[in-house]
Amino acid sequence: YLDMSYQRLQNEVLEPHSKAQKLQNVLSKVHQTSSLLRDALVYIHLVSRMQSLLEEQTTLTTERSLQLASIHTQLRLNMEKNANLTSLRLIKKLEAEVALPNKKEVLNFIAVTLSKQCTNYDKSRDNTETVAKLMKSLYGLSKQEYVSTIHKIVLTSIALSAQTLAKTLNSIKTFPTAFEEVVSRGSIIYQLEEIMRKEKVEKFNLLNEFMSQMRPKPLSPTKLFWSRIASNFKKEFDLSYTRGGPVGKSLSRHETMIADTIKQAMSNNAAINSYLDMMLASVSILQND
Amino acid sequence: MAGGDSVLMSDGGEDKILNIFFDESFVPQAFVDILLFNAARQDINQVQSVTSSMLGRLDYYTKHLTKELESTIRKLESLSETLPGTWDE
Repeated sequence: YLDMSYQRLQNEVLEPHSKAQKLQNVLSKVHQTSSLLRDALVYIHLVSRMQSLLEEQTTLTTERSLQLASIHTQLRLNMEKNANLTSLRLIKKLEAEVALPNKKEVLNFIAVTLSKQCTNYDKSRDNTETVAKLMKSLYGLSKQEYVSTIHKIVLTSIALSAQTLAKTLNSIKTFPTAFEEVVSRGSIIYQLEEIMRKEKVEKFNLLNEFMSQMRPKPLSPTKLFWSRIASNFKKEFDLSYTRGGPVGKSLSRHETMIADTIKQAMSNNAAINSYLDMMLASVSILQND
Repeated sequence: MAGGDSVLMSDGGEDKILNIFFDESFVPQAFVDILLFNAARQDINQVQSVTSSMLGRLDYYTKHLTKELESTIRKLESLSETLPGTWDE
């Protein structure tokens, strides 16, 4: 009697139970395999689209670089979704031979194009949309590259403006036209800042992403521009003035012209009037005597 | 595609590919790696077609294995309802 019931237990309970476990185990392996394969297929599809774009046209244009940049961003997101992808030999091969070399090339192209578009940015020509797209796609490719490119653009503009102002010290009559040029460069920086503020990314916007990387403390491009211009001009101005001689005398003779030029150019410009005092302070040595 | 429904016994039956999944030492990672690497010998489009057809096959397996698992579990459940009675026979 016992054997019969044990036999029955074996057939009707133990066997089905182990079969169920076996099936569950196999099902999970099939599932893991297909999810890895699906992510690999997405990667391969993206890379083959990249290759066909490259075959169509070898030289990069702005439009083509934006297309390629969006493929690279999708590749990165796909890679982040499934870390196992990088252990697949084919993926490693495609990454090394196709994706990464092209990413470097596209990254450089977009950084250079963005710099060019920004340095001779002109509201009337309205390349705002292109600048916005280039900024966003550069950010998508590499956050560091985005921040360092914007930083370089602002620093270049600062260097040019500081030089323009320093040159006026030996012939102060040229100060008004020079200062106007600096204000227009400053307003380009401000307009770029506006574009960055409008471009939503992740939690904030492109402006916030830039400012949060500024050391020692967060700094907007406009503030960076004017604070550097003011401190640099103060150094040059004090130097020329204290040296005295014809240059020093001419500076003090034109004290009001200098202050009025700065006030006129900055006070009624909402974007930069908060930096008026900073600029006036840079020529404040004239008032002390 | 694999043979008819009856083929999918718990040991994978004659379907050579399904059999692989029943092997204790099967590792999804290795399977995908080999599949892709060999397919890539031709060109990238070949890889895409091999991968898509394999995905189709895997979906097919999932469907049938799930059906079989459900029927096995139903058998166990139905048994557990009648269990107290079985021992008296």
